[in-house]
Amino acid sequence: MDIVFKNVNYIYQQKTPFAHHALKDISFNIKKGSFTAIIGHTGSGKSTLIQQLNGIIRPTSGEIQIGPYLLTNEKNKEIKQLRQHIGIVFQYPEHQLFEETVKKDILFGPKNFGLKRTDDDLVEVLQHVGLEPHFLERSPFELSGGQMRRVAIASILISRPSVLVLDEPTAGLDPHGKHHMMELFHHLHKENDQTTILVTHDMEDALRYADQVVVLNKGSVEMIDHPHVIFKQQEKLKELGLDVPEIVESLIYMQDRLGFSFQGTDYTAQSIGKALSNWLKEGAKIE
Amino acid sequence: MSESFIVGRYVPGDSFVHRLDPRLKIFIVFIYVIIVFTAETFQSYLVLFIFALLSAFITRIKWSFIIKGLKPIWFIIIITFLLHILLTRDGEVLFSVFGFAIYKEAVLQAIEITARLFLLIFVTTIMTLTTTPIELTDAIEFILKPLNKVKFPVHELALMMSISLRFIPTLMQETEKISKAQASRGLDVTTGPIKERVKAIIPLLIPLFVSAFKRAEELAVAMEARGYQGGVGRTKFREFTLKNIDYLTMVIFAFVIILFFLLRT
Repeated sequence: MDIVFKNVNYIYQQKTPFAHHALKDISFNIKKGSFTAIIGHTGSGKSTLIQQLNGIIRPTSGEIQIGPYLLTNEKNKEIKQLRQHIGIVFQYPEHQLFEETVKKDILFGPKNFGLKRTDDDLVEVLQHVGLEPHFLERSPFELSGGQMRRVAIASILISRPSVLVLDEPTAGLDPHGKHHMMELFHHLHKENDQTTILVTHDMEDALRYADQVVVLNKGSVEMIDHPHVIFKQQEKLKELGLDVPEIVESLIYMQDRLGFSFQGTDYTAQSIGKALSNWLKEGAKIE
Repeated sequence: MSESFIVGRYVPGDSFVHRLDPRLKIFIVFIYVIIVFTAETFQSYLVLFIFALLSAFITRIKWSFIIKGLKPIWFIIIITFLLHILLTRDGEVLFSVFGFAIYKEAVLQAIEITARLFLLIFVTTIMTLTTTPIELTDAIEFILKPLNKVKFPVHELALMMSISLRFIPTLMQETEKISKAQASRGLDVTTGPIKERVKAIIPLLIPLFVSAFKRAEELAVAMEARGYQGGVGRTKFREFTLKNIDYLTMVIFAFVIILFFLLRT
């Protein structure tokens, strides 16, 4: 489902002394099957933005078109159908677990949406998130933090949403778990053509996985483009309180010190290494 | 509703009322609440009303915000008014509505009780709107200090109060977060038969309890790690001192009380 934001404004606690204009005139598109990363400083409106996607909060003005569903300030009667299509993994999703067994908790979503899921589906989804089938009968509260996170993510994936929204899904995980988790989301995105929206503070992830990056600043869309275009603008990002990925930093360094400029768009260590060795082989002189 | 409900909430500001010593504010509200019940004449009510409305005025909090925030309270006030007007049977009959006789005494009593109730809620709300919960509990601890003599755990009580107050917004946020997460998984607490709706609270309550217990434990460990130990010998970060504005307020309030008692009967 394509997602189109049109002049979306959102004000927290409107008409009180606490009023806070969290989203200002947001307009942009997310194409079906794309991987969009939303980055921005703390308090820039990232979390507010993604909560608009399934009508958990409604825009103060403006509208959001998601496939056939239109979200405005008015209450939408088809909101439950929409929520089935939009899977949101909130920050620290392990806090939402409540059932006696992992199996029941994972099936909570499908039960609400009236979806049929077999035991095979359960085993498959557990496999996706890297858990053994025997976890199904255990209590979610006796698991470790990382395992709970995996169960919570499985409980979203089981409904097979067409749009997967991830709000800092790897916060607090160990480096290995982090990598595994991101590879899982990337795999799902590639495999099922899953539209994925990732809110992150990790510029490395934004560069590695996204094909569109949205930079939010104080509630407005500041930049929107391919990651390799965004991350070339180091000065501007710095103004917004954002870093560039290490690999981009080293490229900037190589350009300044060695005169090597990288023309590709694939910012992986491999392709940059290749380009660098070709450049050296061609007899480039290091100043 | 929860967003605009203001009873017990603090609105940051720097007005005259905000800057007053919280002990003085509690003291004034305490005296005020007592004398409200001794008012008898129209003039004495007038004094009380003018005092309440003026203090609300100088807080510089918007009227519309206060009135809207008291909305759930209006309901109680109106019910009180209706009960009194319909159930009191004293004095001469003024007129009758649908066969219900309305007595003169009833109208007077209804107005009086409603006015008292309104004033009570209004001044205490003004106090909480302009005083941080921390200041309030510190002030209460100060006021209750004499009870230490009879082995009453004043400090522990104040600590419990400030911890509970401190965690109300946190738990509210937590509830909101969890309900959003469960709503995204298709939970629906607003429609369906009552039985289903009650059941739908379970997925909200259990995670909330789990995290509240976890928080309590973490807080206990954190306090112990920093060497916290009860009230004896503990010094305060915020010391209360009476300033000129406090003395000025005392004088003004004393005048209000004198005026009130002159007009009372």
